[in-house]
Amino acid sequence: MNVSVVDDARDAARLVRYACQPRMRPLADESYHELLERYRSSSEFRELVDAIADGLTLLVVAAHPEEGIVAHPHPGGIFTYRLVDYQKGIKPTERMLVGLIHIAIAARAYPTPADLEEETIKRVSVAEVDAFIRHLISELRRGGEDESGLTSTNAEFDQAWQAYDRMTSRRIKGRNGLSPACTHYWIASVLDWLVTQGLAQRATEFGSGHYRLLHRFRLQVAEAAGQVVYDKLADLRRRQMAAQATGEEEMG
Amino acid sequence: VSAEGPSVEITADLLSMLTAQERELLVDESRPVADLGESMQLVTDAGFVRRVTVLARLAPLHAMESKEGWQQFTEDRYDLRSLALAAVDSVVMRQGMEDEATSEDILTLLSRLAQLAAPDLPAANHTAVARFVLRELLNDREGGAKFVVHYSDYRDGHRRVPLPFRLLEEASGRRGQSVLRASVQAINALIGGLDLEVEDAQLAMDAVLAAQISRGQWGRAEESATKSMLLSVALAEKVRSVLAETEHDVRTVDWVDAVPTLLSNARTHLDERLYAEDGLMERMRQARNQASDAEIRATCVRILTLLGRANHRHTELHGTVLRALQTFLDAQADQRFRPVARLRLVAMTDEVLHPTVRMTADEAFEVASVFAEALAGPVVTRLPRLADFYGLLLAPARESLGKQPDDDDPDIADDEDDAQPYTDAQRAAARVVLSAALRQPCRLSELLQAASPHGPAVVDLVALSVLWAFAPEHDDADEAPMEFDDLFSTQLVVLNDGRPLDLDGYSGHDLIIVPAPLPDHQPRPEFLA
Repeated sequence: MNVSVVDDARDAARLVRYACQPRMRPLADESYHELLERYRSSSEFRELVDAIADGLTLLVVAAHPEEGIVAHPHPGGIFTYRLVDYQKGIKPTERMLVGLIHIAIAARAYPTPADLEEETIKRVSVAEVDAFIRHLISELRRGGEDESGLTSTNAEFDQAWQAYDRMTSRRIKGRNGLSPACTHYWIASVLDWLVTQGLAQRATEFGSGHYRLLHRFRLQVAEAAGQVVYDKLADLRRRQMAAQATGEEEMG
Repeated sequence: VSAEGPSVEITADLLSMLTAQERELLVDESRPVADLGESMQLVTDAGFVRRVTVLARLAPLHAMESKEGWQQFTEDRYDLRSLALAAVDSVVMRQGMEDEATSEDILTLLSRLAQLAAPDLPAANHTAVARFVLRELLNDREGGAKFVVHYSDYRDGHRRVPLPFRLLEEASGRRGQSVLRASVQAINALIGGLDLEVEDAQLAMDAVLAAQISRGQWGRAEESATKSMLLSVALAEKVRSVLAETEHDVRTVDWVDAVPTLLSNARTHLDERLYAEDGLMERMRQARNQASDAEIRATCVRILTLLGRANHRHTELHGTVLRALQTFLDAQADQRFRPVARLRLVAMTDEVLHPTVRMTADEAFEVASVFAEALAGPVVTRLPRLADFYGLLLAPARESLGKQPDDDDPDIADDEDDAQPYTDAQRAAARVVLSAALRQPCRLSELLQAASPHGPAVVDLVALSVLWAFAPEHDDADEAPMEFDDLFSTQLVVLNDGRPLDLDGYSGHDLIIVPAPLPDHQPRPEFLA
């Protein structure tokens, strides 16, 4: 086989490897930087990288000059992460809250579509995220009250926010450790997970519990997570409507 | 009542006492205020509007004191504006250089300045003040959005014009570190309150610097050199932002006319700058060599350093400008085959968070996992650490007694209602067999043989208990299975001399079981007493 073809394939695979190391940054690594520039400038090389990524069950969603290759794993692929694997042995409610906190952090940093398009680095803190969710909850509770100021009794099921509401914000366990029985613990836990995934950085100079959300985070929300969650919600809504329709038919 | 004294009623009599000329001069309140033409001209002048916008850009600095959160520093000992300006200056001086200012640098500087202002207050106060100032400059209060200040434009009647701008923002530095950058507006407002085209201003600055050096106005020359440097930064920022915008979306930048003109101007200008700065540095070196005053020499060296930095910036920018066309072509090639546009971006708060929190916990989990999983990006299964391998290598080969625990259902094992696989009678029998080992050392094969009359379940239980004592599952050591609690697993020490175990149904090593030395405070089991 032609030598240059083999070399190109090796280089392309190296770039895919970088895509799987989200904490590596092209500006800090000469060879990553070179490969990234090649990806951005040569359409042949780009096709090669995309094909290798595809074969490894990855979809390249962006080639950002500062963040490097941002990849989205195909569902069911070898790089797919499952929320079920988030910390062994935690309760289902806690796991649900962990997922909810992911959404809340994204909503706090990028509330509108326009925010997702703006190339800025956002900062959040554990306390801010908690306050943001609790503010939303207080509005929901007000919305659920009837005229006499009591929670309306036709709230037919326990909603996700109530689980959050039941947990206190901050509870200390041992020396300076947060107890898993408080929401600050779980927010910090999610933010730390984002740090390991190269989506955030600690910004302790602003105080403990402060984090910086990197472009990679924004790109993942804009290019991948936002879309799939939107589809999922639409899917659920259709399912509910279908269930309602069949329910009414049976009634009639 | 006016400040001049008691008011006078203007009567006809009074007026008649004045000359015609004096009556002319008298202000008639019923008449519209004197012709505004001249004053109106002032406010419709483009220069006026420019100065108003400059003032407006300083508004966030002034507004800081009235912001919520400032009240906690009641002492009134710190000057916020000095701190803010010091922060912006310090950022601008290093902007675009190899070592751009990070938020840590700025916070350190501000804390130091705050400490000098109020040395008697605790250090935590200084840190808090520094953070307050930096966060205000970044407009953290509004999530880092642009400041929006309104001003009036009278050039065509009246128009209230919003002026969105940033002072500082966070960006990625050359090595990928997070750094602070000042906006062009901040730089211009800081330099002298004139919103000039940066290129022209720089030419002017050159002439000023040259004149000052030849006249020996060293102190001011140094100030000019600083300004020249700041203008270099502004110019670099201008080109950089155009190129960044191009890389982001090539269609938003006018590459037919505007950018080529800008780049060709920049190229010509940079050629001149590089040449001019060479000349200036040459003159400055001469001045330095000729100067006899040590202070003047030091000033020369400082200015030379400044010029050197500006020169370095120009050289780099020159490279960027020369590569710009390639950047454009790359961006075009890169973006041509991009899907026309995403259908839409999602509104995270309204379209995702709000509906999700209202769902049942199960549905919310379903939705949230989809999001969290897509957000995480690729996750490479963690490789075992070397330290784990040592443990694996040193541990004896484990026998598979009974079923292998299925890795996928640890949750079932956590269940407290886990059915006890052995009856109390079997456990009692196993206890009797194992108690022999508490009295004197024995071999596993002896124990198993002693257990065999009680049935295979007891043999199993004895074997499991010994294996547990030999190699407990360290993964969840804090919760040893209940079933071994009363089987002395902690009171036995198990050794292996490699002798093979020769017994039906079992293979492996014939382990030696020795009673563990008992801690003094622990009562000996009653059957040994």
